[in-house]
Amino acid sequence: MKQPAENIRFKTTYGQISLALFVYVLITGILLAVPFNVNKPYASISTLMVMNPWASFIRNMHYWSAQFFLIFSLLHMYDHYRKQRETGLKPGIGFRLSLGVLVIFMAMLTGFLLKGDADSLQARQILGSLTTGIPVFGKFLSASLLGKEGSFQLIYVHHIATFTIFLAVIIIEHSRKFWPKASDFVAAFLVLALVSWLFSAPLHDNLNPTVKGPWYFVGFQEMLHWLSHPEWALLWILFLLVLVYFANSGKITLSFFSKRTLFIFTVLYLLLTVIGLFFRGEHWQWIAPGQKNYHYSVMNNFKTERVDFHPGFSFAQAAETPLIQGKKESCVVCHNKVHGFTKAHNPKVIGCFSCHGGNPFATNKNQAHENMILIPGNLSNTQQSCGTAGCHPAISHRINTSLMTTLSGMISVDRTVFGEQINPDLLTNIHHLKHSAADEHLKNLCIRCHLGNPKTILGPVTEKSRGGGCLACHLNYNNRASRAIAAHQKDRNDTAFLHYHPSIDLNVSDNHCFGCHSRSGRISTNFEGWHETSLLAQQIPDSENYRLVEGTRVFKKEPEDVHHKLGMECIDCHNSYALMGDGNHYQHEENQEDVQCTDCHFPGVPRTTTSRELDVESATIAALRFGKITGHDYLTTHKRHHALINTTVRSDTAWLTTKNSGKIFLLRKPATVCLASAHKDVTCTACHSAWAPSCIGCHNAYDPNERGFNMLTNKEQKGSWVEYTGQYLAELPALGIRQNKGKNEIIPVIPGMILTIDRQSYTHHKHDSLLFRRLFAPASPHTTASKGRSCKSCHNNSVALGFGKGLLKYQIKNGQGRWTFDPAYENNPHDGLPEDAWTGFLQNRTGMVSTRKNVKPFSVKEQEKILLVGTCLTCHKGNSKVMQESLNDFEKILQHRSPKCILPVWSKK
Amino acid sequence: MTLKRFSRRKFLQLLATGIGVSLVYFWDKMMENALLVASRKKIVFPLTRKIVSFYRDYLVINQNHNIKVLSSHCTHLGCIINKEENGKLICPCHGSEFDLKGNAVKGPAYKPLHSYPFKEDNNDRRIIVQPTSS
Ligand code: FES
Repeated sequence: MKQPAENIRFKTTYGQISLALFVYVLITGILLAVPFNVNKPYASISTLMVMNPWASFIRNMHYWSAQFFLIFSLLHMYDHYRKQRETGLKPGIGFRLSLGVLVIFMAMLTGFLLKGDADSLQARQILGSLTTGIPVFGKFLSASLLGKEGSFQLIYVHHIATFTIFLAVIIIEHSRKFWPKASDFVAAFLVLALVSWLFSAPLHDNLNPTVKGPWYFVGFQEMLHWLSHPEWALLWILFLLVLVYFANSGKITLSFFSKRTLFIFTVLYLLLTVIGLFFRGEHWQWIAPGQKNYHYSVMNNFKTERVDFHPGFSFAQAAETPLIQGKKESCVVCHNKVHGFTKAHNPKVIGCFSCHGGNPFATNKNQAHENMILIPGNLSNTQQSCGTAGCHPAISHRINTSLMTTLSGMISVDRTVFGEQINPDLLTNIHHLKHSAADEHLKNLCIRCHLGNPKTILGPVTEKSRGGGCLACHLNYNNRASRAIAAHQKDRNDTAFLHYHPSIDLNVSDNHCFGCHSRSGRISTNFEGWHETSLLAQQIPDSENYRLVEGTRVFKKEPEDVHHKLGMECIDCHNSYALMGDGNHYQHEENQEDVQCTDCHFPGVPRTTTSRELDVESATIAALRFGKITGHDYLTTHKRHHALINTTVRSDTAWLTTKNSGKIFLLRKPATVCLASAHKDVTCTACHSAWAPSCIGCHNAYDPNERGFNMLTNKEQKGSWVEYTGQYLAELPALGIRQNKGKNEIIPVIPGMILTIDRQSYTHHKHDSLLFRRLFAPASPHTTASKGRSCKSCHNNSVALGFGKGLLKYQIKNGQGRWTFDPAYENNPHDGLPEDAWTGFLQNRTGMVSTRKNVKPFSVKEQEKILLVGTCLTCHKGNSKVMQESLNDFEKILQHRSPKCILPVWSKK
Repeated sequence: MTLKRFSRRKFLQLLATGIGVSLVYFWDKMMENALLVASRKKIVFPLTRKIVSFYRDYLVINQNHNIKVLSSHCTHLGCIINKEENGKLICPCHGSEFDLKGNAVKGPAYKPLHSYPFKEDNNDRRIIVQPTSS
C-alpha cells in the first residue's frame, strides 16, 4: 500500500489487529470443522454445546474472532479515512477493497446461516430473495450462493473456501503481510479466550417466535421492514459499495464527500441497529422495555452461557439422551428419569425446555435454570410454554377471550350495581380494572377466580385452588406424584418429586372446576347436591348430610343433579369451545355457553355431523379419548354447531359416553308435556331445576381498617370491602322472562343481589347515598331432576312468580274470586317490597331489575296469565284430564268450563 | 513497435474478456439445467382437517373443505411463515400478515402468497402438488 511498510510494522493498528483476528478465524474454523456436521448443522452445534465444552469454546472463539474482525476491519477503514490516507488508490485495488467489504459480510453471513437454527433459516430466505432480486442473473446467483433448499453444502463451501480465499487474497494484497505482530497475536488471543469463555456464540432455541438476523444486519432488517419493495435495498447496498470505492479511489472532493456520507450512514445505521436489537420483538413488532413479554421477545436473544469445562453431568449421560425437536437439550440429561407424562408430553419428545424454558444448551444447573418457568401453563407464560407455535398456539390465544379469563359479566354487573355504568352487558376485561368503588370491591371479594390468577405453589388442584391458566383444568397428580410433592413441601431436601411429574392431560374432573364454581352460583356444589349454610365450621353437625369445604364453609345435603347421580361430570356436557373460549368475547356465561339441554334431549330428529367433518380440535380430543373415530356420527350443538364428541347417533337414537369413566347412556327425549304448546316458551331448566341456592339481605360496606386482600395482585392491604351476608336458602327457583332473539323465554332466576351498598364509606362523597338494589339474576342451577316441578309449584307459588315467600291464596267471596298475597317478610323501607321479592304482587316493575338488560320479572299481565291457570289448579289436579288438555288449548277449556268454576277478577278490591 | 505492443495488449484484454464472458455463459447454462432438475419433484400432502397445515415451503389451507395450497414464503423477502393467529398468517421476519386466501393484509408485503394448483385425491385423502416455479 501507500504507506511505507516500516511505518506500520511496529505499530499496533486496527489493521494489525484485524489480521491477527483473521488468523484466529482461520485456525478455529478449521478446528470447528471437525465436530460440525453440515448435514445436521443445528443438531451438531447444539450437541457440541451440550456435550463438548472444548468444541463449544472453539466455536465461541471462531464466532468472536469473526465479530471482532469485522469491527476492527471497519475501524481500520475509518482510521484510513480519518487520516486522509488511501485516497487515489488504483481503481483495480480500490474495486477489490470495496468488494472486500462485501465479502467480509458474506463470509460472516454464511457463517451465521451455518448454525441452521430458526434465525438462520429465515436469514437464508431473505438473502436468497435479495440476491434473486438482482437484475438478469439474480436467480442463478441466488442458487449458486445458497444451493438447494434444505442443504447447507454450498453455503459451507462458500464459507470455508470461496469467501475465505477471496478475503485472504485481498488482505495479503492490501497489507502485504502474512503474519500479524506477535504482541497483537498474543493480546488478541487473551481477549478472545476470555470472551469466548464468558459468552457463548448465539444459537436460537427454535421455540422463541422472535427471529433476528446477526447483529450487524439487524439495522438492515429494520430498513427492510419499511420497504414494500425490498429491491430498493439492493440499490442501497450498491450505493454504499460505490461510496466505499470512491472513498478509496475517487478524486479528493468526491472522496471527501463519500467519506462524509459513509460516516453519516454509519451513525444512522447504528441507530437502526439499536432499534432492531432492543425495540423489536415477535413479528418485528415495536416493543419497549417494561412492556409485557419484553424479556422473552427481546432479551432472550442475548441469552448466552458461560462455557463450563466441568459440566454438571457426565459425557456418557449426555450421550444417552436423544435429540429433541432436532436439537440436543441439556435439561433431559440431568432430568432423565421423570415419570408421569402423557405420550404427547413425553420429555423424550418435547424435552423439558418446551414447557419450562430456561437454557437448553447450558451445562450447569444455575445457567440452565436461569429464567426457567417453574410453573408453565399460567396465562402469563402460555406464550412461552403451552402456546408456542408447535404446540397449542390457537388455544392459548382463545383462552384469553374466555369468560373464565375476562370475567366480563362479573365486572360489568358489579359496576352496574354500584351505579358506575348503566349497561350490565358491556364487554369488559379484568385487565381494565381501575380503582373505582366497584373495581375495588371486585378486587377484594370476587375476582380471585379467573384463569389469569397464577398458580404459584406446586401441587395438585384442590378445593382451594383458583386460576392457574391451563393447569386449572389439565393438571393431574397421581398418588405417587402427590405423595412426592407433599413430602417435598414438608422437607425441602426430599427431592423425590423431581422424578414424579404431574400429568398434563384431558382428564378434567369436577374437582378441577370445584374451586371456583363452588362459589357465587355454586354450580359445582349444587351439581353434587350440597347447599351452603350459614353455619360455622365448629357448628357442623356430626352427620354425613353435612360437609366442610375449604375448612370453613358448611354445606348440607340436598338432591344432587340427575346427571351427577348417573356419573356424569362437568366436561360431559361442556365442550372445549365453550370452556376455553372460541375466540369471541362474550358478555355473560349464557352467551358463551354452547351446549343446551335440547342438544342431547332433542325432540324429533337429531342434528348430527360425521367424524369426517369434525374440526381438528374435536377430532383430536375424540381420538385421544375414545380411540378410533372413523365412521362415527355425533350430535352437534344447536347454537354454534360444535360436535359433541362423546355422543353417538345411530338411526335417530343417540347415546352419550362419559368422557372420563366411559359409561354409556341412552339420551332420553323430552316428555310430551314439555312439548305442549302452553309451555313452548318455558326453558328446560325452569321446570327441571329442583332447587337453587339463594341469598337475601346482604350488605356491602367499605371498612378502611379491615385487613383485606387484593385478588388481582394477590397482596394483602389495609382497607377492604366487606360483605355481610343474609340468609342462604335452597328452594325451587323463582321464574322470570328473558328476551332472547325476539322471543320471551321463561327461565329460572335467583336473587342476584338484594343488597345495600354503602358507597360513601369508600368514596367519602357527601352526596353518595346508600345504594339499594333489588336485582335477580338468570340462573342455571345445575340441580336437574328428571321429573319437572309440579304445576302448582309455578302457577300457585308466590316465590316462583317473584313475590317472595308468603301466603298466596285464591279466595271466593260473594261469587267473586280474587288472589291475595300475604308476604312472609317485612317490606324493605327502600322500595316498599317484601325483603325477598323480585316484584310486587300484581305489580309491574321496571328500571334496573336484574343483572341483565334482557331479564325481567313477570309483568302484571303475565302474572295474571299464570295465576289464571293457578286458579284452575286450586281445584283440578295437575295430572287431571282437563288440565292436561289445557296444555294445548287453554282458551277452549276456559270457554267450556262449568258454572262452578269461578275465574278471578283482577281489580284490586 | 508501439502499435504492435498496443495491439497485443488489446488482444490479451479482449481474450480475457472473452474467457470471462464464456465462463459466465457456461455458468448460466449450467444453472438453467440445475434449477430445472430441482423443480421436477411432485409433492404430496395428507389431507387433514387442520385449517392451516404448515409444511416447510407450503401452507395447506382447509377451510370447510375449501382447499388451497399456498407458498409459505412471504412475498416480502421470502421468510417462512410459521404462525397463524386469528385467521391471519403472520411472517416472523418483518411482521407482514396475510389472510387465509393468501392476500396480504398488512405490509411490508403487498403481493399475495403464491398459490399452487393441486389435485385432490379424496380416496387416499391427500393433495398432490406439481410445483411450477413461483
Ligand atoms: S419476509 Fe415476511 S415480512 Fe419480510
